[in-house]
Amino acid sequence: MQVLRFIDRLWVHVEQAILSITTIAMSVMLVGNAISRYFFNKSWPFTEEIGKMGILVLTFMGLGYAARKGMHIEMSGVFDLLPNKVKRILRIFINLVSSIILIICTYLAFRYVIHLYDLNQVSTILRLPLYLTMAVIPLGFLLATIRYFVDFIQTILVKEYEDPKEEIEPAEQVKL
Amino acid sequence: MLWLIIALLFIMLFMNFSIMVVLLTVALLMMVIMAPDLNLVMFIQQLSSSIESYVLLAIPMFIFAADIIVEGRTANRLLDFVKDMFGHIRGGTGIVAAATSTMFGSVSGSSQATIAAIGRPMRNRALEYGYEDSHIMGLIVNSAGIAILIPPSIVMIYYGMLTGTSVGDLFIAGIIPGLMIFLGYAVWEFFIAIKKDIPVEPKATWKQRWESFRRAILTFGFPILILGGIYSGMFSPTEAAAFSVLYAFILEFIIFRSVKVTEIYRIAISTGVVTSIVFILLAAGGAFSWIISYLRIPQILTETVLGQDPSQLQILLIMSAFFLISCMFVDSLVAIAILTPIFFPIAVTADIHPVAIGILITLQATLGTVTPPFGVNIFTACAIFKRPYLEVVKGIVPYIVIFLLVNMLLIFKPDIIMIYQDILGTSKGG
Repeated sequence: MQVLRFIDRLWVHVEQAILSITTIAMSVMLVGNAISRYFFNKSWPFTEEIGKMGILVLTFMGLGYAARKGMHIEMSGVFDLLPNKVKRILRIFINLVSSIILIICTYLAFRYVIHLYDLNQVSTILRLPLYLTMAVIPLGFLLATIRYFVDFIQTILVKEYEDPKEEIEPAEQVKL
Repeated sequence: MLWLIIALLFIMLFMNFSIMVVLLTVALLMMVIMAPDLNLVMFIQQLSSSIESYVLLAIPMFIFAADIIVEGRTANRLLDFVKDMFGHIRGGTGIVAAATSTMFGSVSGSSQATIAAIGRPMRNRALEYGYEDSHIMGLIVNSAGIAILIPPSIVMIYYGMLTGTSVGDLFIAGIIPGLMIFLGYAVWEFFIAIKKDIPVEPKATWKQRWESFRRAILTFGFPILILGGIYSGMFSPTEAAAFSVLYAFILEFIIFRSVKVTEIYRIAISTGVVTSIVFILLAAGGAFSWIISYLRIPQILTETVLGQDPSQLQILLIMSAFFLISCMFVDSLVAIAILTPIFFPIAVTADIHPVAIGILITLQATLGTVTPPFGVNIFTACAIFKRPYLEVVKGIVPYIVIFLLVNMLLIFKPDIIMIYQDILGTSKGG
């Protein structure tokens, strides 16, 4: 248990680092490309490819972290009105079903990556194998699955239920 | 069978499943039950292809720029400037709130960021001048919605990507409807202040005005950079977004020094996770939209609701109703992912300009975020002001009515949206 907790704490930092560094790197690359094109008349050919990869990385590697922070968008209007006892049972059910759906997605995504591996496709400019980029999809789904499953176990173990959502900073509110 | 699946969708939504899980479940079920010949692996392929787009890269960039700005002091500088200019008019405090939100919309593409940035100082000031709490909160919730219409706008970027409409044109076209709604709110504030006899703020001297203008002037670089850059062809929308990150960085970290450079790491985490939340919805929404169009559900649906030969107005009314209702319940980007492929082709064949369609959809998305019971802006306001839900909701009715009036006007006369072309002197087309 102790080891698991340690890995968990370490993993938060890994997830944060992936999210933060990808975001910063993408902005630097996009600005660099525009400057290079405008002043030196030379685009960086890899910008588009790396940019798209960056989106995939952010989207799927952020899944688990967002689930941990309870930030995935929900329609909590009805749920908030329920008494805590019902909330707890509902929460257990939601976490269980969510982790089942997500593990199915993990499996399908894994098969998709295997399929790409067999085809041996590479990206047009950087010649990177496509299955490497797409590997973030099953990985992200797997992390989210684990998160929902851990929450499922925790909600069962804890008798006194409180809404587990951490206090979210205004800057972390979901933006549209 | 279809109805059962749709019922399941709503039950799961109300049970508080995350929207991501709901969309994944329903789309997968449809594939398994209604199109058993399809390889399920294609579902994953659709997930990734829905978000792998260079244009969409603009979204994390604009979020990043807004996150940096919200950390810093830019909002207060804007607020001071607008207050010194208009604070002394009748209802000035309310007008200032609406005007600042509108201007802040040109910095951020999001209404939640706008509430977070200007909500608290604005509310405190209004309470001092004797405004009722629910009145000022209603105003803030609604005028923050204007930020979605004023470029940059995430909704417009996504719509532009889906339909191949020029994001630059959409950005410009959003300004007029945004200003119309602002004017509506300003006039209302003016009359309500007379009726309730709310005291006015002292008039600022021209020297003070110049001083606050000088302090706020650098903020006006954002619209110039974004609109000027895109429209002159210097940047693509994605690059304009990246440059607004650079500009925000220079403003807050180097010129104003309101945020420490080491904070950038923490801010980028927040941007990254919000990007993930938004993009997984785009991915799942895209895959959902793909499977329903494979099953030809949109054709069946539109034939039933629209009949054989609908008029332009009928199409716009029904389209807007569908978008508005969906945006009230689910995230507006999800609604756009699913509904745009259904309605866009019909609206285009009825000779409505793609830009006008996009602006009308954006209007419904905006209205959806402020309308009870599930408007996101309301929840944001509850969280930021720490006030009960009902108190926030109480004050928003008049603003929603004003919004609806402008909305109806534009649905009946979509040509108003296209006025921007005459102002800019561009020819019709594209």
